[in-house]
Amino acid sequence: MTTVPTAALPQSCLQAADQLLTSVVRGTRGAWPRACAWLLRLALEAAMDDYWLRLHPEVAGLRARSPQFLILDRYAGRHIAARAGYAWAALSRAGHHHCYELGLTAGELRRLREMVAAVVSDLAAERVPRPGGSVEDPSF
Amino acid sequence: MAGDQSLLDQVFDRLAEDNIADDVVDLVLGAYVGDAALDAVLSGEPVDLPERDPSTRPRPQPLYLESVTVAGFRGVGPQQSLRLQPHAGLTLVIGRNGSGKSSYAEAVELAVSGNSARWADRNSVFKDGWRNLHCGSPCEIEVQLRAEGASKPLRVRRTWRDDHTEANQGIGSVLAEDGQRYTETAELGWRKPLEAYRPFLTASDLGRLVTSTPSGLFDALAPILGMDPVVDADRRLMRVRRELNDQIAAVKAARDALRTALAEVDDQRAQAAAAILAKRTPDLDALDQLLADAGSDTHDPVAVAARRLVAVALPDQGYATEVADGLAAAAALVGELSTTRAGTADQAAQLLRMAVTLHDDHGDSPCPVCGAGRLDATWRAQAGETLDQLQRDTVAVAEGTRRLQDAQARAARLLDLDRRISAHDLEAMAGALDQPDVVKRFRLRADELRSAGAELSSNELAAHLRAAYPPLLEAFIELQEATLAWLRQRHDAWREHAVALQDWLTRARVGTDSDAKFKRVKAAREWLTKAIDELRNELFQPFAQRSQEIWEELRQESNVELSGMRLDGTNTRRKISFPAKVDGTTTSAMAVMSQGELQALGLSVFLPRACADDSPFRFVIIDDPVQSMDPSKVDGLAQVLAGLAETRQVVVFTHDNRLPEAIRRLRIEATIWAVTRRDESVVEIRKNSDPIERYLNDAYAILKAEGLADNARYPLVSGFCRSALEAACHERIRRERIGRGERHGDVEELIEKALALNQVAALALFGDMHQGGKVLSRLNQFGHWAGDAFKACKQGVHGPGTLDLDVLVRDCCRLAEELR
Repeated sequence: MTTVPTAALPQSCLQAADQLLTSVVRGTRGAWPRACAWLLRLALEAAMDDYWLRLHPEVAGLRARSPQFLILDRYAGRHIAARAGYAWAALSRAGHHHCYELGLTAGELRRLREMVAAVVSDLAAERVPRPGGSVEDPSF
Repeated sequence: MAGDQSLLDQVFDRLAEDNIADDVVDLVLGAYVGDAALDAVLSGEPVDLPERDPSTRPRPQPLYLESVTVAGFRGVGPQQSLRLQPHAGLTLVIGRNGSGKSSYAEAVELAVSGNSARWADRNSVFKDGWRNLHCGSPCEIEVQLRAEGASKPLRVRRTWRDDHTEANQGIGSVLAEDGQRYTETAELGWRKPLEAYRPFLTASDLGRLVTSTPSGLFDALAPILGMDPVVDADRRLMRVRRELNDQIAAVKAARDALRTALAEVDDQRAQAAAAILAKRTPDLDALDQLLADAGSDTHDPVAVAARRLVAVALPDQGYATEVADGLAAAAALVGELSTTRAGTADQAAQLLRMAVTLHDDHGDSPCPVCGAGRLDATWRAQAGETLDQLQRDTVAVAEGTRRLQDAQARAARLLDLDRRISAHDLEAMAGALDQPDVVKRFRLRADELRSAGAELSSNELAAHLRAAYPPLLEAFIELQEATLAWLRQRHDAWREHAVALQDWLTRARVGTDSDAKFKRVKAAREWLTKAIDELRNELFQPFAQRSQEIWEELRQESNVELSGMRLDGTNTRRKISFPAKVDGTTTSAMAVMSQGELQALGLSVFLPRACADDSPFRFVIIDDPVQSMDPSKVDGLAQVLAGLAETRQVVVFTHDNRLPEAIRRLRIEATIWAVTRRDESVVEIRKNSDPIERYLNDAYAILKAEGLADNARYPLVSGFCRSALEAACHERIRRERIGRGERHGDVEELIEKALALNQVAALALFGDMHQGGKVLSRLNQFGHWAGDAFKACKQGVHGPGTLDLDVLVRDCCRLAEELR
């Protein structure tokens, strides 16, 4: 089900997140940090899905997310993978209920949003499939 | 502050109990009233001393916080208010660091204490950061407080104009409930109670426990006891005691100095005075008598000798010459007479007188002596004349002899020096004078003079006198001058010491008075010091007891036992002691505690102070008390706060969710506010109810929110629903496991491991996060709606699903109730 193309295009998710981050949407008082985190994560995941489908359809069937991020550096390089992995972990943690943690702050969200936007555009810019998967390349 | 009268009554009770002498009681009371009264009591003047007054002062009106409004200050940009219920109860304000929540805590402290400079000092990192960076104008804080039963609030404001660059430029204003206006809260008499009870507990306050010196801590806690008046009394007694002691010591030092000085003085009076001073208790009257007699100076034989010597008047040189001349003249005269008729005059005269008688009886006849001559009238006339001449010569010789004898007697008197000058006096002066040579010289001259033996002829004697007397006279004058100088110098030396002695005598007479006063003051102080100690421990006991109770609740799994916290000593030796036991071994509390334990100890120590019965402030603000506490201590803290909140308005600011979670789980009644801060320092405050309810409310709010992209709506709504289910599962896991007595830390670790919704649900339902595969079928036992909603939540987060969102929220609501 996760591989079904969704309406959650990376850019529209980013826009929705920006909307929550920069303006007051009525009825979302206090809820926006968590909502924003989900939208940013969605944007990131959508960009990943798009990337796998375009360049590495063999990976697109992988349902679990965390392995996708683990193998991303072999395909897209450490530069992209490190930031994508960090942003995804941070956003996932914020999206779940944790008894002892409060939501993200505006500052943290803004930084994550910039990171996600960069990863989204970097992934979209990848045009050529790189050798990956079984290839062991310690330089990555 | 404890009512002064009640404190005074306790002092009275103790005075009566200890059976203290009246004059000491008066001293204690005088010291209690003030410096002037104490001095008056000491000098025996009439003073108004306080008396027992059974009527007690009315308690101050209890004050509660009603609202805190902040604009342009610290982390808060546009104006935002935190509303509080002005009565006892627990309020939590939660928000991430930087959300602006602490700005409210700071605003209350700053507005209420009204001292920006001190505030800025205490929070030195904020010196430049007091004005909000994004929206610094208007810059204003307002705190509304309400006295119990008052119809209107009391408003305390502080505003900064745009041109104000320093925090302390803020303008304060206070509007009291009766319409009176003031500029500072100090005018309401808040300064002292604020210092004594300090209803603000910040992380730095708690940190002070570790960094403070023992005396600093003592100072922080001692004011709650309201013992300042008796401590001041003690200080006054101490001052007087010191003054008296100085006086006494000065008299004694002066006495020692005098004794040393007198020892150098060669004067019997000085020796006598020194002897008097040497006694342990000098006889002042004897000294007085000595000083009075000293002028006549009849006791010192040397001085008497000197005086006699000076009084001697030796015949001058003219007289000596006269005596010598007289002697020589008389001797010459006698010699001259004897050479003429001296030897024969008497016998010839006798013969002639017999011949005249013969002639007169028998008339003219031949001379019976020579036979040749004739005794006739002619002869008779001649013989008569001769007889007369002889008579005259005889008289002259007698006269000459008498004059010679006379002159000899005068010379002898001149030689007889011992008659005029006592050898004893000379001997005395020879021992006293600095230059005894003058005595020696005089003696030499005197011996020379006296050397004139009896064998000397009168002429020789006269010559001796002429030669020997002038040098003797010269030597004697020299001796007299030396003696006079000695006398004068001795007189001056004495007079100097006499003045010093007289001065000392006056002071010593006062000093005897001081001695008596000193004894009284010492007795008063000894009593008061002991009384203060006992009173302090008695008054402090309930606080120490409370601290210990709080610690007992907070310590939970800690092995540190705390008992018998005490305020010890006074003045520079004052300190606070925390005897502690670790696994039964006594040690100092500070040394063995972890950061979290120290924080708990800080709360134990400072909370009773902030909540003292005598404080007019019925609120207490605690900023971030849980920073390094482990979860079990947070449970203890929640209990402590719940206990306090029964009688106090407790407002706790915290940056994480542990305390709210514990409070919910322990079913403690509390109002929870969540603070979030948007860009540009826009702060939002909303009531934070039960997290499940809140997530569901959020889900519903997103569902209904206008202007939200539809592709965003589905994941957001299902996200909040998922969080609601997770929260419900967490609640169940925690309740069941902690209820079974599992350790907090273990439970938290377990929960942290279960990340995905499936794992969390498996942990909640089967106690094993790896049973995820059985979750759906278990949920379907509630009905298929439950499984559907659960699945929709899991998947919807990742992209729009097919379930109707209204149904999703409603079913999640039901499911959460089943799960929790």
